[in-house]
Amino acid sequence: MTATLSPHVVELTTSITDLENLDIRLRADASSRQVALRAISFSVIWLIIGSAFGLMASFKLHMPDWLVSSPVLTFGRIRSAHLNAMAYGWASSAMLGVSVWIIPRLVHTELRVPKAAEAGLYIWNIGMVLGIVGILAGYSDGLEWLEMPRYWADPFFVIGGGLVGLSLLSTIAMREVEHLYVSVWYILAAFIWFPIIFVIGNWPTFSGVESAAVNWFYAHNALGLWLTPVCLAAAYYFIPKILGRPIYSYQLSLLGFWTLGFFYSLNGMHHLIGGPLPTWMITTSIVASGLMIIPVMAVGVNQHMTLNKRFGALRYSPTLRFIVFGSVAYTLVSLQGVFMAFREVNRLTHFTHVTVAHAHLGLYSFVTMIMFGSIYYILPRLLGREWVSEKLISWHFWTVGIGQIVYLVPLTVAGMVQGVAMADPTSTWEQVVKAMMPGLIGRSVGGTLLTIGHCVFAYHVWLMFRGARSRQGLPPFHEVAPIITRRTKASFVSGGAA
Amino acid sequence: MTRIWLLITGVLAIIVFATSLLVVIPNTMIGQVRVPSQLAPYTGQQARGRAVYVAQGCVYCHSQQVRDPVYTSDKDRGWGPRATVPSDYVYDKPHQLGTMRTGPDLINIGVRQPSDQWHHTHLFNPRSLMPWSIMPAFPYLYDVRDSSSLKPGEVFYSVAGGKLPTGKVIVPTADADALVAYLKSLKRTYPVPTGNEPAARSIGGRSEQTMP
Amino acid sequence: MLPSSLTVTLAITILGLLTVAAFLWAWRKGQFDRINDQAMLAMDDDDFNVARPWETVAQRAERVAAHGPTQLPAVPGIWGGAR
Ligand code: HEM
Ligand code: HEM
Repeated sequence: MTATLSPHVVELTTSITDLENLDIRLRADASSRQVALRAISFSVIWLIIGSAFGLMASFKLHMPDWLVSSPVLTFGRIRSAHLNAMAYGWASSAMLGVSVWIIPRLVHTELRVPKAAEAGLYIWNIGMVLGIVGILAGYSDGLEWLEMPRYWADPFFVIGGGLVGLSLLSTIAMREVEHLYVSVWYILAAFIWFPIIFVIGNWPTFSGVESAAVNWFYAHNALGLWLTPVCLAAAYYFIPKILGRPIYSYQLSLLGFWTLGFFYSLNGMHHLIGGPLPTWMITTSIVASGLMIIPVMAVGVNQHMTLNKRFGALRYSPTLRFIVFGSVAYTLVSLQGVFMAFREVNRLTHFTHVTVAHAHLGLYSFVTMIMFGSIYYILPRLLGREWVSEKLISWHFWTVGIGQIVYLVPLTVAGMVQGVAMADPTSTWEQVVKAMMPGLIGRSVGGTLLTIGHCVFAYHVWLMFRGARSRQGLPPFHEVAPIITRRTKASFVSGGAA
Repeated sequence: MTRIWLLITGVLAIIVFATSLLVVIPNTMIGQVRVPSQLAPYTGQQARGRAVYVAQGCVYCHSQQVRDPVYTSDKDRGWGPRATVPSDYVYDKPHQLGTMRTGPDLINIGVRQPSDQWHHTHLFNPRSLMPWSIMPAFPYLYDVRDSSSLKPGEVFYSVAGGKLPTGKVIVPTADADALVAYLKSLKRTYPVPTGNEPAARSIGGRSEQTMP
Repeated sequence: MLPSSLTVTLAITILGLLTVAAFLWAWRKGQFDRINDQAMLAMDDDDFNVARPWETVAQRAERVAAHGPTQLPAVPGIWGGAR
């Protein structure tokens, strides 16, 4: 199987003492190589498409007469195209790639039925194209997070996700290790949960408030039982590996897993607080949201303690830097979410841009940053060459890092002002609209920075795929100069980015 | 952990439990909702208008619910005389409750704005009525015509605020007419159903009365 | 309404009991023994032999004492598949 990798790999096997260990990783990587590379390229394409939609939606909110002549470009359609392209196109495709790459490594065997995984990936992405075209053409199902047409896009996601899951499950069943690492739990669970919740969410018989309940049962689980577990799995794999020390407390990670599944799955109704639902349903979700403190702190404490006293590592490894950024954001967004779930807070923040800022703190600062970090680690290992340019990595990190601050801070503040203004019955709607304007404009500025960062990243990935001559680099950690913050004259040749 | 089946069982148990609690029980136990006698099913045109509302994605800026006046100001803002209840939504499929108020709540917009003229000029360009509005314009729902070209009996509207050249008027498309019919039908001001109404049905929406 | 709610309650109770039973079984079978060792599953042996520039002298000494001396770096430019 080494034949499918670059010729360098063969050479490498002779230069490393620990042949057996290396061989396992080589076999694992070679087996998942094709699927993972395809998945990453698809995901980056969706990232660019989704950014274009997001930026357009953002500008439209303060330039309401821009691009209004066609229904295809109206805000409501562009916005849901944005959500779907990002959540199911970018994040999910990247997660498919990361999952098929990590699982074989963790269970010490080749990816089984890789053809099924590859077919699943293609089917998923065909569903994406149909779904986005459907939304833009006005065939939305009308349910947030479930806009893609129920009958001619959604089945692709169940079948596609199911096929990738099948491949992962058979890989795990044929494992050559006895125990399953916690990342395997998270990924396996996510691939079982997703098709189930997606079918329930799309079930066609519900109407009225019940349809709202099922809608948010699904949408919250898409966050909590699909996006979150896979990203946590990546964090639980990469942080120890790059630092060279096992996770601080494995018990804690197990506690975190079961409580996450149990409490997150009951959280959905906190999106409908104050709405016309039976109170007990909403209360159940509020209680479960409060209990989310347990898994969140389990993850937060664990990852912090693993990193403790080694923060210097963040200056060397882009993977670590993106992933630690994401992990910190996970703790932040979850604590924010717990507060937003309390009735007293929610009565002000519900229906405001605080929710949108929270959504991006979760889906951008947590999910997207972890996926960036994972791709920085995986691509060089699958392509057999180092990232082409540290400058580009640096540009990527700083544009999206600063972009997020510019996006999130004004939007959160404006959302709070908006909420307070709305709660005051003597304020006019004009005052409410003017209160949110600074946040809307801030978001467009921040979003522009983010989009620039995405283009830099996509260009870099493209250079990698095209086989641009990488600078000859050493494997990670042999690099002397910190490669993100500043580049001094290194005594070794450059490289070692991931 | 060395057993996959144990893991899978636990994972399935979690989702079955949550689905039972938040989907199945609500469907079977509390699924009985009275249809308020004052709430008429959507007419064909209103239903078409609702489909237009869904397809343009109005829900991303407009909610359709009045929350409990005890701890929110929804009622005091004039969005409705009372909190909305499940039976107010029996004909809604898909629901459009919404989670965002970039614009105001619309569940009683038919009470607040009963005028065709207002709705049509507002949809054609919201800034013709409120210069500070950030709602998108929907010019594609209208034909812009010379007032001289109008046939007798044709319904048309003029647009204020300098949003149309002089001599031009707008003629609503069928979609625009349907949308306005739907918006005008949004009224949930009758008292909360007491439970004495005749027909009880499941909010599961399996009855023919749901919107086509 | 009542019978169906009873069915659901019963089903959930049985499911819950099954979960508890599975957990107890797993516990008795030693699935949770030596649990912190399982944290090593993500690591490959040579992960511990790679010197990291951010390590303090003490951290480095500790790692070398536990896992053996630092490996020589692989040849520059060699990337695929490993590490
Ligand atoms: C290029 C950067 C981005 C920009 C400019 C942007 C902009 C926007 C805008 C304008 C909205 C509509 C908010 C509203 O209705 O008021 C939105 C919503 C949303 N975006 Fe983004 N976004 C970006 C990146 C992302 C990414 C990377 C993801 C996910 C991976 C994402 C996920 C979402 C979600 C889930 C919503 C719905 C939020 C809600 O319903 O509260 N966005 N975004
Ligand atoms: C313990 C953890 C969390 C809790 C308790 C929580 C709570 C909440 C609440 C109460 C809302 C509804 C806000 C409203 O409409 O008034 C919300 C919305 C949202 N949350 Fe979280 N959150 C948590 C973690 C996360 C994470 C980790 C993510 C991302 C992966 C996330 C993504 C979102 C998104 C995208 C929305 C907007 C949904 C929409 O309207 O489209 N949340 N969250």
